[in-house]
Amino acid sequence: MESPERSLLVRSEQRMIAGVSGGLAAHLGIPQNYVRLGFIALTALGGVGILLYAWLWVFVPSAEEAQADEARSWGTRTRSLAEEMNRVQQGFMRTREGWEKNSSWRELLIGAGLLVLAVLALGQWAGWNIRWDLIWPSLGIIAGILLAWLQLDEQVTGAGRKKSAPLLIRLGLGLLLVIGGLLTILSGSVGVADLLGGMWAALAILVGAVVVLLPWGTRLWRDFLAERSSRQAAAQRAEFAAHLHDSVLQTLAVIQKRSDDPAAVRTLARIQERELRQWLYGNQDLDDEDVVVEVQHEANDIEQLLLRDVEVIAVGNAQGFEGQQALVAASREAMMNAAKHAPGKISVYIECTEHAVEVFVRDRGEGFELDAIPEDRHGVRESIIGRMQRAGGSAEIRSSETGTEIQLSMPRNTTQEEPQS
Amino acid sequence: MSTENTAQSYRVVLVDDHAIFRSGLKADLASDMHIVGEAGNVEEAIAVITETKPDVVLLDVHLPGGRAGGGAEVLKNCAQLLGSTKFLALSVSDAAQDVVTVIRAGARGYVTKSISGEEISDAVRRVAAGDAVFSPRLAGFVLDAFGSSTAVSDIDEELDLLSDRELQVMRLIARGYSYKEVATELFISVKTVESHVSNVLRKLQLSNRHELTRWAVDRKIL
Repeated sequence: MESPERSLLVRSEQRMIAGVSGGLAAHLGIPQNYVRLGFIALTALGGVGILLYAWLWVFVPSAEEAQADEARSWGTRTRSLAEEMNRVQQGFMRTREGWEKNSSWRELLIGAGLLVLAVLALGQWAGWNIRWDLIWPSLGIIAGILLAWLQLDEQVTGAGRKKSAPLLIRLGLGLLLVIGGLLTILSGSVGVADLLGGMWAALAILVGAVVVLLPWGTRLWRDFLAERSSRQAAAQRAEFAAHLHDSVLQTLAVIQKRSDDPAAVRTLARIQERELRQWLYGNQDLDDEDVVVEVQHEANDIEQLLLRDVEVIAVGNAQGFEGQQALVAASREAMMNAAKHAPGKISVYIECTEHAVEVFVRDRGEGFELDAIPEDRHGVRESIIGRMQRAGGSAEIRSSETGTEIQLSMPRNTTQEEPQS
Repeated sequence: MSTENTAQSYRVVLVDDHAIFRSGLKADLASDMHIVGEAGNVEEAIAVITETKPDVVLLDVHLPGGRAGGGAEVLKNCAQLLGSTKFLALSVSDAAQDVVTVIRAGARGYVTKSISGEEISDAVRRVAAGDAVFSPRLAGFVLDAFGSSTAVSDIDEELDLLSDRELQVMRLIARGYSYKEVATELFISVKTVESHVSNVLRKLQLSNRHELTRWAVDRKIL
């Protein structure tokens, strides 16, 4: 019954207290309510359930934490293998550091609490006289405080702003636990009537204190916001610096080394420019599956592979039409051909209309005769013309001594056109 | 056009905020180009251009100073000179967003900074002669914005429509053909190609076509 891939043990986002049960249920692949029942049953057996729950709370990262770590360690850009590995390594290191920093205070606090509790439990076993009637309320108070404070923590990080109803419920529960615990402790030594009177007095004092301290509170809050935004700016700057180092500086170093090869330098500069522009401004909101993006991608690939200039001009866009794969593959073959056999710039033009998608690949070579290519050379005849025809399109090659142009055309939305061969 | 120095010599002003690029370009330009002034920001550029009234201004798209309008701001402030002084936009890349603003503001064409001095000199001569300089990318943009798929009823002005011939020319330029190659391909003279391109440029500058605006707004150009 071992499932092939067990989901990572993280605290669930759908939580009642800290999401331990949900996370455990997802990890073990059993219903969440069973886990909860199990915890309750264990709690009935001398409080072991609470201890286990607290233990897991401390040491299992929440889903958001895990996600943030992942996002931090994996960028969205495509990069070379070496850079990728380097990045993964760095990201891994950072992940550990971040996680440790994030949860160290909690570990310390709750760990100490658990230790104390364990010592006490051991003590009772050994026959000490322990006032559980004081300890349980104190425990309730601590739990309530933690419950309330953790909500505050979450609100600050901005993750749960929308789910404010359960947040309020948990806050209220925490408050209830604290007040209930305090009252239970006090009721041992003070009469109920005195307690009620004292409560009013406490309330009045509280209100007074809040009124006096409110301005400081808001100012502190504003300071905190300002500091946070400056910290974000610093982080962004660091990310920029890291990117420039990874990409631009590396390329500049390569350019200096290859300064005797103007064509290579030019292409390197171009590739870098494109990459930087892409990173700064992003793609013009086209899908990754768009034929324009795919051909552009192939062109970039060939630029990097053969260090040649490939300029792609696109008009319109299209995706998901029949024969798109064949068109992209044939375009790649055509560009490859041009890059291998012709000097100078390679111009690629893609035009997507309602009826067809056309790709023109033009080079400035000496041209060639299709008939002069030996039968056994598959490049042009098979992977361009044959491929296009099998997919229902067409390919034409126009060659002269000033250059060759390969024209590919794939019809769009032509319902049931027989792929005749 | 200033007629006093037609003897194959052009008075050129260089506007670019990078001194390295300016000196590199100066060394690269053909011998019939005379640099009569240089400027590194919007205010300087306006002053130099109004003072020297050159044939051609090589104008960087991204310029500091002024009201952060870059090359387009220079153009707007030199609008009264547009008849005699031609502007050729320069940009670090051939991204359309960099260039369309200056074209709409009155530049006669644009070249990327990465092309050779000879090519830039050619472009200067062409612009000085009153023609437009279209790169494949700009042609692609024109085709995108003026493309086919608009109902005839939506088109209310001659400016909003490219003729079939103009579309053909644009398509060939986008495919990487030079003016001469376009002429051969369509069995017309180079002069005719030039006039088609100039017409397209005029339409690009003056048209209020819906698609053009939308295209520009989509890409945050205008």
